[in-house]
Amino acid sequence: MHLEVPTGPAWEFLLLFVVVVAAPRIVDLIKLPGLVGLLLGGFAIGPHGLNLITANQATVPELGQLGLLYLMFLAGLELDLAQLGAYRRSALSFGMLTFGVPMVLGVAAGVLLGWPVPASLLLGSLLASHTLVTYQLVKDRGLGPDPAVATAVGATVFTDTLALIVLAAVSGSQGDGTPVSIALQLVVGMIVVVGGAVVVLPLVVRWCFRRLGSEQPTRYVLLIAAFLAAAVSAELFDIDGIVGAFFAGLALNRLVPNGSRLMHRVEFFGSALFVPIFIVSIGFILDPAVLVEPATLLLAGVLIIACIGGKAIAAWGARLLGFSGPQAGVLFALTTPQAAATLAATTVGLQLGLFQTAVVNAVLVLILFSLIVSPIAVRLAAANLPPVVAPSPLGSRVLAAIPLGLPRAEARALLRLAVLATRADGGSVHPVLIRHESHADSHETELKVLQEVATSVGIDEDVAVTVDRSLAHGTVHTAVARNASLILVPDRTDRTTGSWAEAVASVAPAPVALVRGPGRIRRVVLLDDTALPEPTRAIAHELAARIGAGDVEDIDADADDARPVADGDVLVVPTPDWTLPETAARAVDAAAAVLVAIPPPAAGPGIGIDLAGAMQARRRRRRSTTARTG
Amino acid sequence: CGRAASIGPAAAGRFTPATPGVLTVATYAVPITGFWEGSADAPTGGFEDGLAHALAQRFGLGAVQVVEVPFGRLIAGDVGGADVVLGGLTPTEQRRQVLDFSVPYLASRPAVLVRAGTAVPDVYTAKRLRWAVTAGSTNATALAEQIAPDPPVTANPNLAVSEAQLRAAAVDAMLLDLPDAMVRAAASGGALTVAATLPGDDDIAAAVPRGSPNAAAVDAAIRRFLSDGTLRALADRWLGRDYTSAISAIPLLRTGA
Repeated sequence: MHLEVPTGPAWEFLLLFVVVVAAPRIVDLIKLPGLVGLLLGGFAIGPHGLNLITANQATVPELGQLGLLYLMFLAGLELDLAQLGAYRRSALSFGMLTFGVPMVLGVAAGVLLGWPVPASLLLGSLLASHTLVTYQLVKDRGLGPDPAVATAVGATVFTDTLALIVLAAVSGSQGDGTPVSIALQLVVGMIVVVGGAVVVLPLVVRWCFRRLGSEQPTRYVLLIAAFLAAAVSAELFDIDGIVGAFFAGLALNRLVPNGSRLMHRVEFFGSALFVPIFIVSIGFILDPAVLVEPATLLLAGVLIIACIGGKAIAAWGARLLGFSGPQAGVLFALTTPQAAATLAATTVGLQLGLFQTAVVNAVLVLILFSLIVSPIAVRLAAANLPPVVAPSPLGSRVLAAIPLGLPRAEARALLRLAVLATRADGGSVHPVLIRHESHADSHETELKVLQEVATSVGIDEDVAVTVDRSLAHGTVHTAVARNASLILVPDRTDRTTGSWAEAVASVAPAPVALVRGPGRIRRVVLLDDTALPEPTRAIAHELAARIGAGDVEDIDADADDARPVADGDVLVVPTPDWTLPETAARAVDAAAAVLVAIPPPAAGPGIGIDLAGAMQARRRRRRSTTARTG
Repeated sequence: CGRAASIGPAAAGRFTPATPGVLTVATYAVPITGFWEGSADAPTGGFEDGLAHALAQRFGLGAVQVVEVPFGRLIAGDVGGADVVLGGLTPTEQRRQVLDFSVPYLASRPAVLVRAGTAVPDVYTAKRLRWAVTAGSTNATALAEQIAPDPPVTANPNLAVSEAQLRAAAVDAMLLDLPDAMVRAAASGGALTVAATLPGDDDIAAAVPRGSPNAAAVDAAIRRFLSDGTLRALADRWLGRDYTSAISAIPLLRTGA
C-alpha cells in the first residue's frame, strides 16, 4: 500500500481551518485573546514551525491579503459613530493625544535607530493606532456607558483614520516620480478615494439595496463588492488598498447598523474565515530564530516602551480633560491593545520593502505584550470604577408594529419614521406584522407587500409575523422578545381592547408613539404643551429631534399665530390623554401630514430621558444645522 | 545617533558587500537568453542582469560583477564568494539547508511550449501528445505526475535539443519553466507559443549563503521591487513583450494537482 504525503489546497485549507477553530480555544484556557492563538497557530503550521505549509505556497498569503482588506473594512464598519457624535469633543481631544504621543515617540525611535524617514513615519503610525480588543471586557463589567469608555471608542475613529492617512502617504511616496508629482498624486488620490467612499459609495449601495438587494446574500455580496471597489480605486493612485477598504467601512457605517442581520453576516464571515486566515498568514512570518536575536529583542523593547509608554502618557493627559484616575486607567486599557491596525500597517511595510522580517517579528512581540497587558489593566482600572447603568438609546431597537390590513401608504410612513428614529443611534428597525388569532385569511400576500415596503425604505430586517389574541398583546410580547427601545404603532382601534395604543402603553417595556397618516415626510413640527407631564414631553422632544435630524420647528399648540399644518409636515405631539388634538387630527385626515403622538403614560420603565437635556440637545443640533446652512 | 543606529536592526536590513562598492552576483551560466546576455565579464542585459543593477543601486553600490559558478556548487551552498545568487534558483527544502532565499521574484511553474496552432485545452489532449523534457528536471517529474502521457516521453540533456525537436515536429510539446518558455516563444517569431501552464508552486528567488547578514536586505529589496513595478518592467523588457499581461492570459491546465 502506497500512501501519499498530503499536499495541495485541500490539505492546506484543512490545516488552516483546524488552526482557526482550535488555536483560539487553546489559548483561551490560559486567558489569552484568540488573536494570539491564531498567530501562534500560524507559526506552528508554517515554514518556521512544523513546516506543514511551506514557504513557497502562495494561496494562504494571497487569501491573507484579502483578509487584510476585509479586516480594515470591518474596522471602519464597526466603529460606533453614534458614540463619536455624543462625545465628539472629548473623543477628538483624547484622540489627538493617544495618536500624537505614540506617533512622536515611534518616529523618534525610528530616527534614532537610523531608519529612513518613510520607515520611521510608518513605525510611528502603527504604534499610534489601536484596536478595541478589550472593549467587550469593559462592557461586561458594566462600564459601557461610562464617558471614558465612550470617549475611547470615539477616539478610535480618529486614531485609525490618522494612522491610515500616514500609511497612505508613506505607501504613495514609494512610487516613481518627483516629490511634487508624488505629493500631487497622493492628494488627488486621497480626495478621490475618500470622497468616492464617503459620497458616492453610500448612494450606490443604498440604491442597489433598494433595487437589487432585498435578499440577504445579495446585500452581503454588494457590501463586499463595495469595499473591494474602494480598495481598487486606492491602488489606482498607488495608495494601499486597505485605506480604501477602511474608508468604505466608515462610509457605509450607517447603512449597516451594529446588531443588524447584515452586520452579523459581515462579522460572521469575517470572524470565521477572512480575518483568521490573514492572522494565520502573519503567523507564518513568526520566526524564533529571528525573534531571539538580540537586535530583534532590543527593537521589541523599544517598540513596547514607545507604544505602551506613549499610550500611558496620553491616558494620564486625559486627566487634564476632566477624567478621573480610574477613568484614565480605563482609557489606557482600551487604547493599548495593538492588533488589527498594527498588523495591517506592518504588513504593508513588509510588502513595500520598508521593514525587514526582524521588524515584523519585533512588532509581533509588541502585539503579544499589549494583548497580555491590556486585560490586566482592565481588571485593575475597572475595580475602582462603579458600573454605570444607562438606558438604551431611544432609537437603538425600534419596533414597528403593523396590523394586518393597514393601508400600504400608512405602513410606509410608519416604517419611514422608524428608520429616521434609529438614524442617530445607528440602531435597527424591527418590523412586525401583527395578526389577530381569529383572522382566518392567509397573511402571505400582505407580508410580501410589507417586506417590499420595508426594503424600499432601507430596513435590513425581515418582517416578522406575530399571531396573538389581540393586537396589543402581540405588540407587547414582540417588544419584550425583541428588547425594543421604542414602539411605533398606528392609531387603530382593536375591537376587543379599544384604543390599541392605550392597551400597549399600559404594559409596554419601552416608550410608545402613536402614528397616523400616509403623508410625505419633509418637515418636523413639534407641538409642545408645557402643561403636560415631563416624561411625555421629553420623549416627544427626543423623537422629534431624531426624526428631523435636529431640524425641528417648535410651535406652541395654544398660540394664536400657530401656522396651519402643511403638506409634508410630521407633527410630533405629546398628548394629555388618549385623544388626538383636533387640528392635527383634521390635517391628518386630509392626508396633509403624519401625526406622531406620545400618549401618557408612554415613558415606559426607566427610559431616563430628561426634558431639559432633550431640549438642550435640540438647541445644540439646531445651532450646528444653522451654522452648516448659514 | 550613529551608535544607536548600529545596535538595532535596520528597517529594511543592511547590505555589506564582499568587495566595497561592488555587488558580486553569481549565476551558473552566461549567456542565458532573456536572463543574462553577453558574457560574464561584460554582460549586456537580461532580466537578472537588470535585477542585479537595481539591487546595486538600492544598496548604494557603484558596480556589478558577475561570476559563473557551476549549478551543482550553487545549490550546495558554494556561491563562489559572491554576495547574492541570481541564477534562476527555485527554493527547495534541501537548498534551504545551505542557502537563504528571498521572496520569489518570478513565477516559474511548468509551461507547455508548442508549435503555433497546437491547442492543449485539457489533460485528455495533453496525454495524447508526444512530449520532450529535460532529463532529471522537476518538469520531468511534473509531466509524469500530472499528465502521464501515453506516448513515451523524450528526455533530453538540455532545452536546446528539446526545442530543436519541437521545431522539427519530432515532438508535439515540451515542458519547461514558464519564463524560459516565454523567452523562447518570443524569440521564435511566432513559430512557437505557450499553450498552457501546469499548477505548481515553483518560483525563482534570489539566494545568499545561509546565515548571511545580507539576507534581510536582499529580501526587503525584492519585496520593494515587487511593489514598485521594477520587476514588472524588467520582465516586460527582457522576457517577452508585455510579459506580465501575457502570462496572466495563459490558461492553467486543471490537472487536480
